[in-house]
Amino acid sequence: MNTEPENFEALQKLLKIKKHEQPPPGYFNELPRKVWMRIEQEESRGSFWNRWFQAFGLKPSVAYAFGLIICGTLIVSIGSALKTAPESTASHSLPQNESFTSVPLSPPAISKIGAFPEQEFTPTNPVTSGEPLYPGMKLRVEPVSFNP
Amino acid sequence: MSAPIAELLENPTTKPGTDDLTLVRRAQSGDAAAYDELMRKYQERIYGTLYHMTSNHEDANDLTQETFIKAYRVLNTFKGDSSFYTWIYRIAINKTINFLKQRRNKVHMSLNDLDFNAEHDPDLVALVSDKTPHRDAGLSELQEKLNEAMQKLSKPHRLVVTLHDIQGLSHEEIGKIMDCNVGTVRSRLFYARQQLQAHLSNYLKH
Repeated sequence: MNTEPENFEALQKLLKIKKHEQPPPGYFNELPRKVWMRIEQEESRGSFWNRWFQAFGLKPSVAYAFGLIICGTLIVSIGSALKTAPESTASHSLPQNESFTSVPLSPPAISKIGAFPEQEFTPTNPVTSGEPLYPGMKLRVEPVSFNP
Repeated sequence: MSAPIAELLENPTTKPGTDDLTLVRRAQSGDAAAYDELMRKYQERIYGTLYHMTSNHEDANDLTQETFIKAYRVLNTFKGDSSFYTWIYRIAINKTINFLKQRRNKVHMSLNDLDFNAEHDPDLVALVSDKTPHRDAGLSELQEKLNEAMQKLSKPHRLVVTLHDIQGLSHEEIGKIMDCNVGTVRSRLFYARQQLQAHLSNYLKH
């Protein structure tokens, strides 16, 4: 790296031209005013979200407070949801004395399904608490063949 | 801070002579007059640097305004680790480098007029005298050629010439602003001058 002083004297003289370049008269008197006007304009027309994020950027405490509120709301919501959940589950629970009969679907039973006699069935849907879905209507079992 | 700004625009009152850090602390606490004084103190140097970097008055004007607006927005982040002068210079230079990257090679010069003193500067008079090969070259032509040559330099080289040879900053100050050591500043300055000399050889021969 060669940084030995060379004869830049003529260049230095030429560069003095740059020092004489001046903006239009009065420019520097007006510049601060223009800056303030732009700051004012930007502040007044700043969108809601811009101001929102700026507030976060300039004041981290606002961001922390907002985060805290969101977390608090979330915790309270989850807590209240868990509190009401057992009640609603209980309303859908089965009566304790209800008896159920299960139909075994073992291969011998399936093979005899064709000879299944007509009989009345009680719906096993727990929501209806044992009440027939269609009162007075007899439900039939239709034999179904799974063989092609 | 809208009310103080409106008040300031109607009745600009500044108290010159206060040191930068005091003004910054006052501005940080919402004193618009303090920031106004900081602006008035540094506007010429900031504008000058940006003008010499862009060779365009309109671009320099926009960038200067944006620099002061940005500095005002982030003033609370100024902790006083460096001088306000160095801090705002960094903002200005970062803005300008980004602007020049976008502008790439599309240089559109819009040069300021030379002041009255230029015609009476003995060094400049000598340049346009019979010692110059281009005897008919007036100051305006020299100004244009010099700006063209400046725009041919890389951004770091142009910046170091601007800050040292035109603005008169020391190597140390430039190092702080450009975030590099003094050796790098000296080296860049040397190569920048060499390149300028080569570009302007026709106007520098004796």
